[in-house]
Amino acid sequence: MLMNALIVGFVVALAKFLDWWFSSQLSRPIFIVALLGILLGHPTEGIILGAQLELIFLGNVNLGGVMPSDFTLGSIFGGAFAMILGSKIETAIALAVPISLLGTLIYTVMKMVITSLVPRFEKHIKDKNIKAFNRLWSLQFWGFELVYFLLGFISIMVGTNAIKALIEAIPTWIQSSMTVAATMLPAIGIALLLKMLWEKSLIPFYFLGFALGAFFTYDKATDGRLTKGAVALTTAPTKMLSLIQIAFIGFIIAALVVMAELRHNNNNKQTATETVDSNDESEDFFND
Amino acid sequence: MTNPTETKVLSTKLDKKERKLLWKLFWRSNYLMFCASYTKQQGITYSWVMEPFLENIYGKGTDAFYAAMARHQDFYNTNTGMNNFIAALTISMEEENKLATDNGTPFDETSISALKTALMGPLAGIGDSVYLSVIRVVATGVALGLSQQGNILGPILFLVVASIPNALIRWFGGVLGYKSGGAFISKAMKSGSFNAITKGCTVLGLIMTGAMTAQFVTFTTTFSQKIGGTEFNLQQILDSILPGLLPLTLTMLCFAYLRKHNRPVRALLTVFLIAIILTVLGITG
Repeated sequence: MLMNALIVGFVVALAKFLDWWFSSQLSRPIFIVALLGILLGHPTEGIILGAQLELIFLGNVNLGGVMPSDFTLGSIFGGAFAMILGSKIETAIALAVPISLLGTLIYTVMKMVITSLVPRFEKHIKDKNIKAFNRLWSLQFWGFELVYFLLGFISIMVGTNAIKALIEAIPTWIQSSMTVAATMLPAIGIALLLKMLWEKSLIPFYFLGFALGAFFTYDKATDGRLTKGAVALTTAPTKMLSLIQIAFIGFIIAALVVMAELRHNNNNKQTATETVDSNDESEDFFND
Repeated sequence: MTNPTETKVLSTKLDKKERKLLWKLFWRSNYLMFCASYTKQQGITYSWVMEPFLENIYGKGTDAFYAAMARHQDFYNTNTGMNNFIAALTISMEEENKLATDNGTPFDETSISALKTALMGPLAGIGDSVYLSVIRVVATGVALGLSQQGNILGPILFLVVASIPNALIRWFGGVLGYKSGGAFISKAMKSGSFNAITKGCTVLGLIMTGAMTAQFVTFTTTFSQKIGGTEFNLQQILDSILPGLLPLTLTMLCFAYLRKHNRPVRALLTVFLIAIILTVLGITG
């Protein structure tokens, strides 16, 4: 059990590192649960579990610095419990979702602690003490990693069954409302992005993006059944344009805006002064 | 480093010293997202990332060094993959600042912060959508089938497909930012072409943020009631008015709140509370 606990603790800390370092995407379940499986000695189960958990958390992303659900923590614990106990994939999933929601709360508390340290960082620079500044930064970094290591280590040591009982003790109405909350929370990340991008004259473009993303849907057939000689199709509304396709359209619109702006600048300059040497320079910038 | 009188400013050839500097930035910039706070987001760590470069420019422990460090502790938040471009640009501007003060010509230091603020928003919007919906989705798509069969190639392919474009964006972002340099940017700023470019980036960022609202925020009601024999399905009615009405409304409310009061934690807890109330009432679920 000690070995398992050390491995899970290490993987949780590593995942928290990879979450942010290099924006590597390697804390996604498809990679990190596979790695966990290899370390725990269940490589094939780990890889398959990783794929299953990835499918569940596919829509969960951290946007604008907001973490709506800690799918990393949830899938590592779910995967670890299932592999250690030798239980089914369903167990992993049943544990992963509530743990990922509890993880959000842990993260929020951690970020509040970090926020409380900000004035200290500022003070060290004001006092011209770069050594203390660096020390505090390292302390914060390693403290953050240590908390997650201990979280993984202790959870496995305390006993997988105890954790399972704890999760099961959470009433279903709380569990289901937390699932609802996790899908709503990206709104805050987007609101933070929007705050940085806010410019009155350009805001219609936000709604254009929304329209492209939301309005074009089609009913995708998910299931077909033969009833009374006729085929009854089950359909689900599906978004027609992917974000990649919207980015393509968005790029065209942005290019048009830039060109119009450059032309406008040039016209202004030509009327203001007779020297038109700035003409080639702006074109240079655009060509590059 | 960048000579303002040089005619071809945007050459991407690097000498040995520049390559070393950008290589260092490439590794150090990876830590930007660590220790992000609610008040400054990545601001404190941004100054930590800049530390060795500023030390190089202004000298260890000098007043100018600490002034620069304080300058870079301001609120900062962007997509970390896009940071290399901004950070490299900032380094080259700081170098110019040092050169200008040595020569006794004034350099407007506020322009450095202004540039950071102008770039972080648009690049966050573009970068988030590139990383979350292009790189991540493509890598997952490539790996998922293999992983489902328990094939070790799945996670390996995921690692490779996700990392290569990421590394390229970071490296060439840094090169571009450093080589374009402050002199070039401020020249472009005066001629207005810089504004045109940031405007274009903001437009693309806004379109992508709108699209992400539609595709990442899920807020649907499950409320349905039989009234006089006909089924009354609230979500169907809302969809017929405007698809995605609820996610859009929620995002707008969050935005209005955060714009007025900068309290993300309170917004977070409020959304939690709303979710609990609505679920208990049986409106969502």
